[in-house]
Amino acid sequence: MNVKAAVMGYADRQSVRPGEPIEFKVSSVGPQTYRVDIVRLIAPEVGLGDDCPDFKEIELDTPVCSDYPTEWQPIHPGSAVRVPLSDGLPLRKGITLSANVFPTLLSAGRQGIVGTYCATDDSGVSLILEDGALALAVGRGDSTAIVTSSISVIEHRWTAVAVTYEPGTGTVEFHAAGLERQRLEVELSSRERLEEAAPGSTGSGNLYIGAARAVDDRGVEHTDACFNGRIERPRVYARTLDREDIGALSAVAGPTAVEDAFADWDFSIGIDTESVTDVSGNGRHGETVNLPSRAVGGSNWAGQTDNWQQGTEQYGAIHFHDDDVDDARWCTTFTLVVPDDWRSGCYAARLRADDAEFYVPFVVRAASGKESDVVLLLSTATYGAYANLRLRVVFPWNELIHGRLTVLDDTDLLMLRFPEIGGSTYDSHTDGSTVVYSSMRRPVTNFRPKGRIYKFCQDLLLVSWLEEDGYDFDVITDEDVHREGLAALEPYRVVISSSHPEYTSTEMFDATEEHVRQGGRMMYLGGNGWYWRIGYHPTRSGIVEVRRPDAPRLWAADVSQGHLSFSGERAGTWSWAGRPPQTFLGVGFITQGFDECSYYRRTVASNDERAAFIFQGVDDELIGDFGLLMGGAAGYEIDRADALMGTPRHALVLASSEGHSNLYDLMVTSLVDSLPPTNPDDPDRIRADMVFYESPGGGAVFSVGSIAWSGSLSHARYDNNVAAVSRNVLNRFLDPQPFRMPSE
Amino acid sequence: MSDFLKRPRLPAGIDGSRLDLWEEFHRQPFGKHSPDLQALLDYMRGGPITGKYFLKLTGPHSEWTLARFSDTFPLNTETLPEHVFTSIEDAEFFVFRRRWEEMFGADPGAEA
Repeated sequence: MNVKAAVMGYADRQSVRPGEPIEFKVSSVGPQTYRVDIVRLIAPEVGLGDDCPDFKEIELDTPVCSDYPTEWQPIHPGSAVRVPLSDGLPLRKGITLSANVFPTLLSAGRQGIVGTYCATDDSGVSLILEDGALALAVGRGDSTAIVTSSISVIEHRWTAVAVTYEPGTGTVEFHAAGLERQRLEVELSSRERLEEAAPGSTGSGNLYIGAARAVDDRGVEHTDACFNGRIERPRVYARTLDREDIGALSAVAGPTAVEDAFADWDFSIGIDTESVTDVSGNGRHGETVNLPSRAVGGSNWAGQTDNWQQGTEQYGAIHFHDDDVDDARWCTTFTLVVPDDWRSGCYAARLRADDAEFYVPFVVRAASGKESDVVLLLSTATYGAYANLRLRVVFPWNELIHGRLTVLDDTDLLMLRFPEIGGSTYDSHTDGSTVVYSSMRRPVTNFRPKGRIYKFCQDLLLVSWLEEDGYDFDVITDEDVHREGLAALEPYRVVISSSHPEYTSTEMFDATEEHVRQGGRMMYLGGNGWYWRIGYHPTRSGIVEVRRPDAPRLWAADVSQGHLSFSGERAGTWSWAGRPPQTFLGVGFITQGFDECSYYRRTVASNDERAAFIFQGVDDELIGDFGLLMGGAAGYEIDRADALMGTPRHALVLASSEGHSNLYDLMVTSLVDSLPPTNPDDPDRIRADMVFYESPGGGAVFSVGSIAWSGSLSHARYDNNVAAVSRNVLNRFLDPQPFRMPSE
Repeated sequence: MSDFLKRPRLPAGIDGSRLDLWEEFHRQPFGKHSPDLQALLDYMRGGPITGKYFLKLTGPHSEWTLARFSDTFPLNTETLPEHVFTSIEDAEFFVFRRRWEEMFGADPGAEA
């Protein structure tokens, strides 16, 4: 049978300097070979209309451009804790396995809690859930015995569970007790017997918490039978404990409840790491796999804090999901060493197999000391938060809130064909909890120069404008700024934002703001910018964390999760953190709608002499009443000025949009829920504001507060008032002459 | 994400006799709509994902082929190659008429 061709890939980073290597990992099915080319991206594929620039990519001659043999590299999703345990579990005196569990998807079938069981070679022993019942999996070398108890645990309830097993007699005893405070639960026990002799050894591989172990046909060990839900304080004893001792094991705080534990893992230690600590004194420490969620409330979470740093002992749980994936962990297919003479810009590895095509974009930064005056700041944090946005495909209300039929292409539909590539921070796990970590270290279907004109694809419209107008410019990424701070921006006089820089770390916010404070200039040519605070993984690139405690409708609410695990910072919007985007950009997100875009009408303030340079040669009252994105420059997601939210007092509101559709009202009241119900005819609420202000250090900020702005640049071959305003601002911002504060 | 947005209800008084709503939609498929048309569109668009129509992009933002999600999970898709559009508006009109016919039993755009 012919297999429909598919090729996917990702890189080990999104940003690289000349002379540095970047590794690409590719997996494919279908034809015997696939083709790799490296291209520089000049203009995205946006259509054939008069407003649309022609798709433009330049093929580059590199040693890695070649045909490659097709090779399928699997992804093994599902998170767990892995503990090196080369000698297996000692069984001579029997064994006890225990944990507190909070299962969230009993219908998922077999789910490992703690142990060494491996289905691949029928080895090891693990405490598991078997269709919701406590069970013991015992590998016999040539088969597996599943001893199932009569005890069923309850979904979304904390239960202390334990099993004792005596291999000599085959006796298996299960114990369970509800842990919910203010609830009286019956303690349950179940005594079973393993009919046939069990093996003397209980596995020679790693021990897993939150999964069982398996090995694929390439010999790669991975998680299997993954647990959905939270696990707390798992313990192992190399003997069978009596009932009284088992009753003491559910305590989560303090020293080991019963002495001589073989291992006793306290997840409240190292919450901001991928390390798991054994407090038994035996040094059987572990590490998490596929980033299960930490910084979540445990069985003793008392509702007195949402900050794991203040009540650490109440955050001793880890939430595991069978679809967590932080890294596809594919082998490197080829490594590109970026030639020294490549200019800074947007590039991609283009992969083709039959009619299947996949892009793996990356940024080449300027060589140190050879920077231009202008830099385009690509919003890779936002690309990460939205990576593999499954809800656009599978959620029933996508069409409703967009006010248009959903449009998908073959690359979008890879998310259905290969669900193991995972979702975005807008998606739910299989158990309904929200994805909080999102990684670029896996194939990402919506990071490409084609398809939906949004995010990276749309940002290439800014690239095409800068190219068309002949500006020398560099490109850097959010993560560059996050890691390097102000130093990444200091070489540049002008920073141009991307179209949708929604997600911002503290380091990014500090650096971009300080750049302006020191005389730099910010052109915010987008909407919904600097909106959510994110955390970057402290050591591994391309992984972001998002939690939204202040947006309960966007967030399967768990009130214990008020702070990020990576950084410990308060999670949520920047407004929630007391630093609204208006304080820096002059505008902040107000609402969104994707059915139609509108235009700006100039205000009296646009005639202020401080703004004269912006409208030089532009006599039109309406700005952007055209464009390839739903017909206007104001739309998709829009921001407005708001003095109460921190818009600088001397900021000029130069123009405001009007006439937005009903959908913009729907989004405010139903999705984001940040405002009381609004009337779309009320210009005081539903509008994008164009704002300009000067900073004390000679810098300045120009903001358009609309994602759709860049969709109007190419209208009439870049001869239009959106391009003219953008050009006027950029030309003045390039002028080293300091801006003066209006009071000076 | 929580599935918070339930399918809107179809207000009383919106039925197959309201051909004015089709005419309004035909005049202006995007942008501001009357309250009744918006309610009808929200109902039409808010249906379950299973069996739902969508557009498969088959030309670079220039050609769209009608497609549907499967009637059951896990979701699959089926393209309907007999329905190819070169304008988004035409695709919207087609799906609107088909949904109307499924709801009310007659094609609102049929020639009288």
